[in-house]
Amino acid sequence: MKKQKLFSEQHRFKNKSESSKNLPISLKIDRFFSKPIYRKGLDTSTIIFFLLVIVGPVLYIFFSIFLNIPSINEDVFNDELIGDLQWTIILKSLFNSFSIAGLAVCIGILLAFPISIILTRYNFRGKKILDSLIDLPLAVPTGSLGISVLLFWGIFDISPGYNLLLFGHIVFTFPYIVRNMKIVLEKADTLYDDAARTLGAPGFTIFRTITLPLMKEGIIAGAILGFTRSLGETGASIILSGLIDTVPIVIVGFRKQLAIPAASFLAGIMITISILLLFSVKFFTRKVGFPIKKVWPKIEKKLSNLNLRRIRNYLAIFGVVILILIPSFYMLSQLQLFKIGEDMFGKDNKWAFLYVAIMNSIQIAGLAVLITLIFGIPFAFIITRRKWGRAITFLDTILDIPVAIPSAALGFSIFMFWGPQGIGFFSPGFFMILFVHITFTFPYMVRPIIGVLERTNRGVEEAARTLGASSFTVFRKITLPNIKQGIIAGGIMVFTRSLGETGATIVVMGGIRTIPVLIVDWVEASAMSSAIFASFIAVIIGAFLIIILRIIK
Amino acid sequence: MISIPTIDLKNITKTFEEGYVLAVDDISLKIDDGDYVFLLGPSGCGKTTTLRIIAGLETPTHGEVFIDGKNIKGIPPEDRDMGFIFQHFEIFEHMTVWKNVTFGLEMRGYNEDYILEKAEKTLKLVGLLEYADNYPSIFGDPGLQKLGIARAIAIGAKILIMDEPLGSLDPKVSKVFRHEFRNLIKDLGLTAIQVTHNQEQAMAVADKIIVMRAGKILQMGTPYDLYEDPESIFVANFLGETNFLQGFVLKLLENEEMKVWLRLGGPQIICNNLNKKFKLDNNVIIGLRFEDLYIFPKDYPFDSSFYDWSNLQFFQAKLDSSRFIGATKRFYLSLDNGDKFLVVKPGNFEENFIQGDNLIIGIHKDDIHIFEAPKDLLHEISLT
Amino acid sequence: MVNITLKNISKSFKEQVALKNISLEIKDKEYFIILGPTGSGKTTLVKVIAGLVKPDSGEVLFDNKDMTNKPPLERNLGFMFENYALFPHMTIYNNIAYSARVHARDPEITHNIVEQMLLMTLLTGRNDALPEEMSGGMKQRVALCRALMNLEQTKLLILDEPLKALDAGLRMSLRRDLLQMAKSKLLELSVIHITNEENEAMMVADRIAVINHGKLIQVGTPYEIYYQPKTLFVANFMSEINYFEGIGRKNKELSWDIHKKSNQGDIFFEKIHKESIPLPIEIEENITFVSCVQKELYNSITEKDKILLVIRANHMKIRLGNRIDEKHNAITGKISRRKFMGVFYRFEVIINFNDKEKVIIVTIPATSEIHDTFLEDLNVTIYFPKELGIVFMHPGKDEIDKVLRLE
Repeated sequence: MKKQKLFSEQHRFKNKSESSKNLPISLKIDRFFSKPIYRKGLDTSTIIFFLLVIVGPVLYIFFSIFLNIPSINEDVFNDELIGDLQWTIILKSLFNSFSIAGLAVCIGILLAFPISIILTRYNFRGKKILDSLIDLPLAVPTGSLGISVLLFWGIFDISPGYNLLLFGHIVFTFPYIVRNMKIVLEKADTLYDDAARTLGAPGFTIFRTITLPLMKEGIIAGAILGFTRSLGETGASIILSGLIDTVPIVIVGFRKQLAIPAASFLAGIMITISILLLFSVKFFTRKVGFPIKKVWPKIEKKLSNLNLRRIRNYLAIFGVVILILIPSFYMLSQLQLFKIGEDMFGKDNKWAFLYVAIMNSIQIAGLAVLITLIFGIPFAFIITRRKWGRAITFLDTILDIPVAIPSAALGFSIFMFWGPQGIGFFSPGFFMILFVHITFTFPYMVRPIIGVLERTNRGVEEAARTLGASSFTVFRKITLPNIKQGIIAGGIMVFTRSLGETGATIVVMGGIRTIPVLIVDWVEASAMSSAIFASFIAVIIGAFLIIILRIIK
Repeated sequence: MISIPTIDLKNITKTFEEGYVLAVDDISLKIDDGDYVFLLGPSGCGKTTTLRIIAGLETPTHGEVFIDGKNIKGIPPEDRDMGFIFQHFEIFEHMTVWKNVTFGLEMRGYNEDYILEKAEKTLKLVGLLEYADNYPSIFGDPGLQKLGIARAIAIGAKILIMDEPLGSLDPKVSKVFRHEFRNLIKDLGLTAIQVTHNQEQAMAVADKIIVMRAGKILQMGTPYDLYEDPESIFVANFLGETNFLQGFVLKLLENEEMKVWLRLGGPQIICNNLNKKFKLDNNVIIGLRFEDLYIFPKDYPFDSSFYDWSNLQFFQAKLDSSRFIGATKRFYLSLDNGDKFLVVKPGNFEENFIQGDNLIIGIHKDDIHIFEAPKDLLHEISLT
Repeated sequence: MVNITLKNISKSFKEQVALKNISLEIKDKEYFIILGPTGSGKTTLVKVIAGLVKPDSGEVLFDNKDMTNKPPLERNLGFMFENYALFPHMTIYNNIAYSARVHARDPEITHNIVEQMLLMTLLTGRNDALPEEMSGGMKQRVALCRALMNLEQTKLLILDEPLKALDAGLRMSLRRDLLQMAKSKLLELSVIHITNEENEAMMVADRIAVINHGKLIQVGTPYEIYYQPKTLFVANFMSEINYFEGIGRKNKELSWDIHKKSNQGDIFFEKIHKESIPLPIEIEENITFVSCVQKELYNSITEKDKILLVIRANHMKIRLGNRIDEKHNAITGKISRRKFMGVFYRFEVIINFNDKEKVIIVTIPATSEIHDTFLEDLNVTIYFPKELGIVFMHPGKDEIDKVLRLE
């Protein structure tokens, strides 16, 4: 065997110009855009977009309150006619909102523990269906859920009011809590459980000392998300509240009465509280610990009993079915097909309204997806790839602000920013709805992309670069195919959130209607069967999107 | 004519985290055309960072890199024209085997005929041609790394850079692979640099080894030179297995020799004292390679007609235990002063020793490595 | 005091067979190695012993007591996981003390033991450190302490690839420490240690079980595994080998006395091969090697069967020049590559029989003489003593390929 130089015919490039001579046009374009200056330009414009469209409008409310201190003082606390009635309403609504959100989250967590364990650690028939059913309320407008809950508990003579509100809020906060717990449980390696088992720990002790502490962040994240969603929910609350007021209802009410100073004051309070909550949670999550040092072997061994575990599982599934699943879909059984024809195409011609609302909803959701996508990808890149130190931590934290604050308050703040009282760029209507939706859906787009980007293997990108791919080619041919899933997941989240949003839309809609708003309108006008039909369509769209999401995963 | 080194690093320093972490500390090295060079050192010694600097995946804080005498400062990795092989393969999973191999060729804008020919030839070389249309998910680790190799050499670069390319493979697989790998690189006439923490692997395949520790180069040379003439205790310990015994210089002798007395009344041994480096009463460390020691039963006749024993010096030791480990056999022994040491003989070394036997140990004067006693011997022989 | 018996253990995960009918006995105070490539079922096997995996069929006995269906908490053995599985949310101290707390042992005694362990493992003062703050070697020590804390009357320690995550250099020195710990009078442990590295296995084992594809292939002392491998797989796994295919010619006359003991024989070999008989093996028309064969195998070989002669690379000898007259089992060739490997030199020698080229690997202890004289492209003679040949029935070309490709 002679040592032949198999690649002796190889020719190396003497310089760069020679190498790019024969490049196909697409690679030449890639090389052109790989220049650092374009990347810097993209970064800058993304940050400007983020500050101007996402964060700025939300925080504008404080500026606006500051400008209007005298009129707030006058309207809210010292009105000539009603005195501090508005302040009393505000206080009451704050109490209601916080107590309902707190209770709903507590009940949700209790139910979510066993359910998330069942969904991740057990294997049984119908697991996937149960999983999808629990997720489905995420994709349905809360107004529809509200109707369903109203009709279901109506059977037991529970009429609109505090209790019904609580039941409703449990339904739509639950999926957020379960989801987050499931994610951490899936990530938490059963390896640690195994290790604890070999060290002689019984099941309950393992759960208490190993699994629970490892789930901590997921539980807190889910609880916070559920809490803020409950605080901000408008559509279902309007339907279920009766005479009780929650904060979003009051904001929408003030807005309708054009009590702008009072509305902005309340929105400001809510945004402040939400932001404080967000930051304190981010700060305290690490500090909170579970007592893991002490073990009571006898009691815990008894609690590890198989039968007890079984009873717990059945109870949890029963609870979920009664409290969440049936109330969510009860409405479908009340669909009165024979009445629909008359309702829709009769003298009111409600179909025309519904059709326009569907088109509006889809257009707004579609455009929101497009725009959040365009800016979301570079933003996710900035968060995961740029080494800007503290600036990144800061951007990462404030990215969650639109999610954490109640959408009615957010909508109001944006109305003040872009609307006639602020910049005067838009008046309420299609484009203002679109801007509102872009603002609050942006984090939903960015988070999944950040997730996949953090998980993607940088090594593959480096491999492509050492093989001669310019950084833009690497993005196009290597990174993009790898983060496709995250982008699609983000897109669907944005679409469903946009499709289901009520509170903020009511504040900025002007004469335009979207599906959830139309449903609320019809419920308020006692056109129940039409509202159910509209909800039915919303559920179908939602179910369709959830199925797509599952298939991708 | 003075030949220009293929790769030439001049005073490279690299710090991370705003200067708080010093990964590479002012190193310079030259690699000649066609050499297969290893950067060897424990985890965190800066070897991978050095490699990434050469490939352009990191920018040095100070210093310059020359390739064929040309400073390549500021040239991004895609224009450096080096093949890179990764520890975790970094195969493009969403592309077929064929697409993986042609990726680098397409990036260079070659015409289709050339790409076809070259990719086919390369795949045949690593034995993956029949899988060209499959996705890489059908492969186990060895297959993936073969593809990684094919992908890197297909671009026809003269320099091949490898970051622990065998580190993710089963030890047995990597032991077979490393020889195939070396043969391939030599046949292609490539200049190759490989990073590893596995000294056995480095000894087995390298033309030259650069031993690094804590961001600095300790020694470089051929495996033979490093093994026969380690300049520091760390290198002696890291490459191969060595007994370190403490002692002091008892007497200086003629011919650049000296007599060392091992501590606590241990044996006295005559060693070389080249350039009269050591003075009387200096504390020294004696390094004895496990396999350089001879071992005899107490009543061995030492028949001088059979071998000239005068080159050896002898001392006594007690056998604590022995283990057979296949190709070699290991004897655990202790000296009178309580110091323990090891002797390695071929696996089929004939003996009839029993635990507790007093044995005679022989050593050739030239096989004794002698070092200055460090402040902290434990630190010097710790492998980090 | 614990003897472990496994009887006909089988386990499948969905379609994948992980363990196939494994029976094994592990004696008290034994250092037992389970050796096999990645994915061979080693980890599943010890998880069955620990009770983390329930076998589909078969029995697990501890001192003849059926433990098959007992949960891990009744087995009280120490289990050290690959990558250690230290609880990430607990400090080093709490990790080590976990088992004592779960068993509600006396806190003061526990505290003393843990402090002692930290002292012995050079981790004193790191009580409150979290696992993520520790280096690989430290984590390994903590995991070992944590596992030891769980030992009560069952003094069994299971180590799942305990050295895999460490630097190669560190691995070598830690092998010795592990063995020392296991054999210490204080602990008197039985150890089951999983590894995929043959050197690690040989270095510490009292006995070795080789498994591949979920099947137990051979159990024995390091000597037996090395000198009397049952299959080509075992032979190849323990070191680099060369093989020749041929036919046994029991009655073939050779020019030398094949029954005379060759002076390169091996006394250990004799201990194992009590009754072996030299067998002439015709490799090619004019090339015949002789290898000792176990009596049973010898009797079953006929002239119709193809057989396989395996010689380990380090059992091959090499000599300059191409005179083969006075050497037996010799063949001439040319050094095509040579490489210094520290303790050894490794040569690739190309031999040429009947116009077919074959590469033979030879490794020999490195001396300065070899360094200076055995150069590439020189003609050499390679030979081997008949006592060190290993003979198998020919397993078929595909099987040989598969084994050598390590599949």
